[in-house]
Amino acid sequence: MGTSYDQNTWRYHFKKHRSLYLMLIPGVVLLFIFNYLPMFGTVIAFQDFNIFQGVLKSEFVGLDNFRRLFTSPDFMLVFKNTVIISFLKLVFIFPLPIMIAILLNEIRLQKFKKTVQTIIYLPHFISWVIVAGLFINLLSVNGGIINNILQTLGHEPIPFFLSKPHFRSLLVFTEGWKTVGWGTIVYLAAIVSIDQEQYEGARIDGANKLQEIIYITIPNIAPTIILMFILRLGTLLEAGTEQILVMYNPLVYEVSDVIGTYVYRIGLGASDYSFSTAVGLFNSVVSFSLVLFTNWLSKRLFDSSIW
Amino acid sequence: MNKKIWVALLVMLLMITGCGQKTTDKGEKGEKPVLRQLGFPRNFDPNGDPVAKVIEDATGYKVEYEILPMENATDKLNLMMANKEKIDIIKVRPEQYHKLASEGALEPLDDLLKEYGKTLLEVNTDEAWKAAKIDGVTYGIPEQASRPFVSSAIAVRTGLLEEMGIDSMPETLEEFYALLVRIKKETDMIPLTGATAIVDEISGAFGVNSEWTIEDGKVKHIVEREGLQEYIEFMQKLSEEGLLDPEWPINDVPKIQEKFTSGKAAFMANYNWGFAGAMTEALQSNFPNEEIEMVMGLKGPKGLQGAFLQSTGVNFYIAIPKASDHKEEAMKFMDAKVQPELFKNLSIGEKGVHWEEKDGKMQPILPAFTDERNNADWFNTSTDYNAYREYWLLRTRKEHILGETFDKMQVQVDYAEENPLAMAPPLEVPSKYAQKLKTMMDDYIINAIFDKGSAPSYEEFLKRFMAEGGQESIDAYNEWYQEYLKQD
Repeated sequence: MGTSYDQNTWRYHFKKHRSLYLMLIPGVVLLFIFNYLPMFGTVIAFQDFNIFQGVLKSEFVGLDNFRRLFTSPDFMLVFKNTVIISFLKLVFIFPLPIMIAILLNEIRLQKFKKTVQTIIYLPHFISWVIVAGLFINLLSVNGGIINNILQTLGHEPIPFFLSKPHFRSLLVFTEGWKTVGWGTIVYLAAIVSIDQEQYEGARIDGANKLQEIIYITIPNIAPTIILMFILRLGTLLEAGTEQILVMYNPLVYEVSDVIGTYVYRIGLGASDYSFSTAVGLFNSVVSFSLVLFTNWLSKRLFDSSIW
Repeated sequence: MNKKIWVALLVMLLMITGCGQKTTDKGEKGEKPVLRQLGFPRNFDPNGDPVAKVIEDATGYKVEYEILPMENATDKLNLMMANKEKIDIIKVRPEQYHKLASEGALEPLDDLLKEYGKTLLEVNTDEAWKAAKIDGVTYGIPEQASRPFVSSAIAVRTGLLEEMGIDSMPETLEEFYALLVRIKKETDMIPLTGATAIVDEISGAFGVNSEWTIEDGKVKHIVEREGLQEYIEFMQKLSEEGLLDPEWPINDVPKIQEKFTSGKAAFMANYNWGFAGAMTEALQSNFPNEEIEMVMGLKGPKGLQGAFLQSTGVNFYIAIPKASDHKEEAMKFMDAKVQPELFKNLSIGEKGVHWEEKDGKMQPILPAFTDERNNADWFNTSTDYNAYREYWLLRTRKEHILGETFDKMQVQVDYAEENPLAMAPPLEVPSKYAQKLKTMMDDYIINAIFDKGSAPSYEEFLKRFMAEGGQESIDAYNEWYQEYLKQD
């Protein structure tokens, strides 16, 4: 091989890392087949899709499905609920795992720390149906522990699951109960990777525990927090369909019906693929824009972003 | 070394591509092909079931059975049909039948029936065959519901009746109401628990049970009838006076059973004869020697009384997909299965082995009957309608208490209301909206009963109901009904 390549051309790089590129192929092919090809399926959002005619022969209806979504009488209510519930969850639940991770990190007794970790991870593995069942029993008006306590304190029993003013708080609380413990994993990992010398240095300079947390731990895990926040915003329109579906009932639809549950109820048994796809596409567009926006914002404000 | 790998790869490749071309059993002339039958969701293994064996031995056809999944059954069915899977026989719900037929996925059966399905034509009623026709063409064999029956009542335990000194069950709405008030006053039990929007024993007192009725030659939906509003108002009164379980909207069947059998609730609506065995057992573990008594359809202020008569009309259609390679054989096979002797054997088994005659009634012999015929109905590809009315009763007698409860509930048959549209073909428009409208109505009723303050007015609800497919459905049924009247 007498020819020499300019070291900056892609051919040079390709040749140099030939085996690496070769190994990349299966991954790229899989990604293409399973993640990009199916995207063409979104055309059915613009069709009156009929499974017997297939994607190619189904009739195109333009934006009809979107019109149906936006003009349906419940859409504003459902959209409002989605944003409110999601926002409440974001505000109340997002900071919790960070705080708990920091607190856990400060525990000296390893045995105690491990036990606490195991216990708070547990709820993550319980499915929503079970969680709903648990809370329905705990909060029952006839014989539920919480209402028994309320009654002995002289308070009227509260039908949490049936009461409009309480239901959203209930959603936030149960979501928190189930997800907060698991959410600490990422932050704990981030804290562990902080260089211990920083702490030593701080201690020599006379910093106390609180100062260590504020000036070392938090700044060090800030990129992780921002990353998690951006990812979390991407699912803003997913206010917890699975959770709400097993917990709500006609009395609280007004405050808890979100896009996911609405589509489920309306499309129920109708096999309305086009409509569901249209809703899915709408969700994706909003979520993607949110991610782009927060990413841009965090780049400007904190000089930290995911790309 | 390298060679070996290549050979191994080649073999694997062959195996993968080989899977694509499934060898279809054409069979030589005279030899019976292997048939594929697809049935509705149920959790059991049809290919290992004793009934499958009996069918194969008696008809000489080897059949591979497949079951639709519990979840998204219709999606799976549509997908299979759209992909032209080589299924020879499908047993599906009326709305699925209609959809598949109108998409052109099913084979017209009229000629095949004339040629190979003479018995099938005889054992099903003309009424049912009429229901099976879509634009004058038959695409499926109708399987009529076995026998109309009432399956609900309000349960109460005998011990409570004794404690309260009640020796006869309440028969009018007034008596029942007075009893609920007494329970509220004298005990700390929930007077009445339940899980559904409509309690048939109470709504019957206002003359409404069936979702659809025909009044003065017109098809009407239950929301158009005055009785429903009166029912809602009555239930609102009960709810306001604290006579209903406040957790009704989040109750489900296991929940109300638990409340009832543990003695937390005095009366339980939605009691079904199918619950009798397990619930009596659970009750007796808390209240030894007590039984479950029942409040039947109550008489209302205007003397009306009602219950819902279910299991009328056509439950299933059995069809042959266009993609099938063995259409004639499939028809021959189904015809063979309804020959009287074989049909009897398939449904209830052999005398002396699976059933016996006792007190003039056919009684199942246990456990042989449940072991070997429990899922017999899943395999049916048509019943012998008249014979099956009797055979089916054996299924209610599998447990003594079950049969007894079933028999008792049937006093309501005389005044029960049935759905006159059960025999109507599944029309496209109503099928599309049915589920949604039902949910909408139930949700509204529950909301109105338990949170009167926040629920919209009945007029508002009605307006929305009509706008979101209600009116369209009613019109579609009326159009069909006028056509139907002309036919006779």
